[in-house]
Amino acid sequence: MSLDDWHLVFISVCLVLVLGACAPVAMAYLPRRGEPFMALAVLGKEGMAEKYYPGDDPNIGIGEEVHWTLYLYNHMGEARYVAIRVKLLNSTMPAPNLTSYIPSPAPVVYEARHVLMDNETWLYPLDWSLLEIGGDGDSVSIKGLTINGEPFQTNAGAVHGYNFRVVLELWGYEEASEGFIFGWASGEEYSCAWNQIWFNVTSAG
Amino acid sequence: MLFLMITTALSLHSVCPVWAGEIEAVSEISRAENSLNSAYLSVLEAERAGGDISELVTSLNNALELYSESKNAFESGEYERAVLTAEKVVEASNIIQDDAVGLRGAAELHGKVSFRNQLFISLGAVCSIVVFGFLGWRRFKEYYLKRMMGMRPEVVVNES
Repeated sequence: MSLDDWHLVFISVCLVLVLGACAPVAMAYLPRRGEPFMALAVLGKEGMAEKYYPGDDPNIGIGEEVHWTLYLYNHMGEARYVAIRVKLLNSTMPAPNLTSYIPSPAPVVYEARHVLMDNETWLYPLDWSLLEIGGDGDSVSIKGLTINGEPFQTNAGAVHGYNFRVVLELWGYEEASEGFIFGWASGEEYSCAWNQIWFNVTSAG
Repeated sequence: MLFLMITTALSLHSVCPVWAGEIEAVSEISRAENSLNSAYLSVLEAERAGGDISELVTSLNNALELYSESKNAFESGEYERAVLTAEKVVEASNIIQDDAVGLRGAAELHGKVSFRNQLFISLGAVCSIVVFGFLGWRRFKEYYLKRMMGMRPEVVVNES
C-alpha cells in the first residue's frame, strides 16, 4: 500500500472512533421506539382463548358463573391510565365504531381502571353472572348482573333472549382533554380497541 | 353546579340526611377522581424526566382500587363508606403527587448531570482520538518513509 492509502485508512479509523465516542450523546436525541399501540383481549376460564362459557354452552342461566380474564398490554412508550368499560348490548344496538372511533351508546355497566407501565401486561379477572332477568312478550331482558361480586342494574333486552353481547371498550386518559377518551392518541394519530362476546339467556339456572 | 349541589346538600341536611349524604358522596368521589387524574399526570411527568415510577404506579393502582370501592359503596347506597373511602383516595393521591414531583426534580437533575458527564467523556474521547491519531500518523509516516528509504535500490558499480 502507498502512503496515501495508509493515510486514508488512518482517517477512516479515526472517523469511526469519533462517531463511536459521540454515539452515547447522539442517542439521547434519537427517537427510541417503533409503532406505539395498546392491546385488549378477552380470555376464557383458564386464561386461554377458549372456554368462555360454563360447560362451553353459550346459553347462560341465572346464577351461572362466567369466568373471563381481560388482557391488556401497553406499548405506548410510557405509563398509561386506562379504563375498561363493560357494556351489555343486544344484536340491534350499535357496537363501537373502529373507523370513526365512536364508542357504543349503551350505558356502562362496569368499569375497571388501572395504570399500566410501558411494556406491562395487565390481567384482570372478570367474573360475572346473571342476577335477574325479566320477560315481556317475546323479549327477555337482563335486569341485573353480578360482576366481581358486586351487583349492577341493567336493562338490555333481546328477542327470546338470543344474541346478547358483552362489549368491552378500552378508554384511555388523555392529558390534552383531561379526561377519558375511547381509544388512545399518539401524537396526531388515533386508535381504539374493543372486544365482544356473544351469549344467550335461558330461564334455566 | 358543584356549588349548587353542596348548597342544596347543606340546606337539606336537617330535612333529609340521606340526600345530603348522597350529594356529599358524589362530591367526594368527584374530588377523588380529580386527585387521581392529577396524581397520574404528575407520575407521567416524573417518568418523562427519566425517573423510575414503578413504586408510584403501584401506589396509584392501590388508590384506584380504593376509588373503585368507593364507587361500589355509593352504588349500593352506603354513602358514608363511600365518602370515607373517597377521602382515603384523595389522601393517597396527594402523597403520590408529592412523591412524583420530588422524583421528577431528582430525575431531571440526575439526567442533566448524566448528560453533562457523558458530553465531557465524549469530548475527551474525541480529543484523544484526534491527538493520538495525529501523533500516531506522524510516527507511522516516519517509520514508513524510513522503511521505504531502506528499501531504495542502490547502484552497484561493476569494476571488473
